[in-house]
Amino acid sequence: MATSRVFLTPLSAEFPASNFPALSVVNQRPVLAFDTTTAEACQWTFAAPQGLAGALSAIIHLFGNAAGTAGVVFSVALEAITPGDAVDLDSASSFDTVNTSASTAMPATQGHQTSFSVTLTNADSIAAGDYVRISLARVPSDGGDTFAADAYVTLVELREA
Amino acid sequence: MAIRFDASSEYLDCNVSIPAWDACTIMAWVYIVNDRATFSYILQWTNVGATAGNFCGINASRQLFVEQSSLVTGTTLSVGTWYHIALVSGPTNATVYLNGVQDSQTSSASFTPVVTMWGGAGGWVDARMSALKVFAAELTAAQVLQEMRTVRPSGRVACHAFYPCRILEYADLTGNGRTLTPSGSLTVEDGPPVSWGATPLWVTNPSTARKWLLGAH
Repeated sequence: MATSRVFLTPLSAEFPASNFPALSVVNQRPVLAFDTTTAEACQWTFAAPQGLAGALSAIIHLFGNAAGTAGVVFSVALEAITPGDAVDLDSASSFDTVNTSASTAMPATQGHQTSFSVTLTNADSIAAGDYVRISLARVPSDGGDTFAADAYVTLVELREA
Repeated sequence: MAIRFDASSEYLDCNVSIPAWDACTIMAWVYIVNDRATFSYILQWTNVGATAGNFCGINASRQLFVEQSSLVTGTTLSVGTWYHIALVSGPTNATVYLNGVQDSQTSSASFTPVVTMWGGAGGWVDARMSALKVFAAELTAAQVLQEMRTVRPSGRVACHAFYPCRILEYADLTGNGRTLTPSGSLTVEDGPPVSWGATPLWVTNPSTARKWLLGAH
């Protein structure tokens, strides 16, 4: 049985200086609004839980700012720093290759929630106790991202197989 | 999200329980949308009739200024960029901080403050603002920098009033009842790249948790 490990919420997201999803509130629900044309990304920081041993996946929960069944595509990248790693935190990032989702059809009715899983094949050799950053980005340049409205991410769950 | 001021006499103000002239900090994240090429007030607290007070804004050349006993200009702001701006008043100086760094300063002078304001009535600013905070204290540079990092107050210094301005909500989220009064037809637009300040939710070692729940030792 898969095990939930970390829950990443909009209110705990961190943002780059540009091209970031808007931290918004929709019907009193905090959301991250990912644009339909600009590639926007945000990050979260956590320590890799103890006992981490299995493969990880990111479950992304979202709803759309429009009706229709067009698709969205997201990518997830991990940066896992073990004490002693040769990464200069002052000046460099060390994210592994992005893991890109398939195109996921949004619900036909605006406001209805859906979710999809991104297998974190490229997990930067994450190990228990690592200092980890995870980056979530929408990929509007992907041919499968045809949803012509904001995608409202409500929650990201890290799950261990 | 952020609240947008885009017309004359669009602003937010509060006239409830205003801090003393010599111990007050007012701040916000600010994004200039259009250059009006004229004086535009961003932050201020004033007496009745605004004949005296502490003022912060941009001049016709978009230079950030502080005004109290005199007007002193600082950095030229760009259109389309988010800045954190704080106006800090103490018994000696009134200081403007830009992104946590002192930008301009002038000498203080006493007055009887009756209102805090974001935006302006006559010299209005075409801008978005978010994460509005008020402190009944002259914050230090380090404290201003700390408050800049998150939308919500850090909790290190008692917050006098807090208005996240994610939507058209005007309640003071400190619970002190210092509600904002909006003027004009305000709207909501995208906000600054600033974390709310919460932390991810964890699940600790699930096998241990299950043993505890089952009463195992």
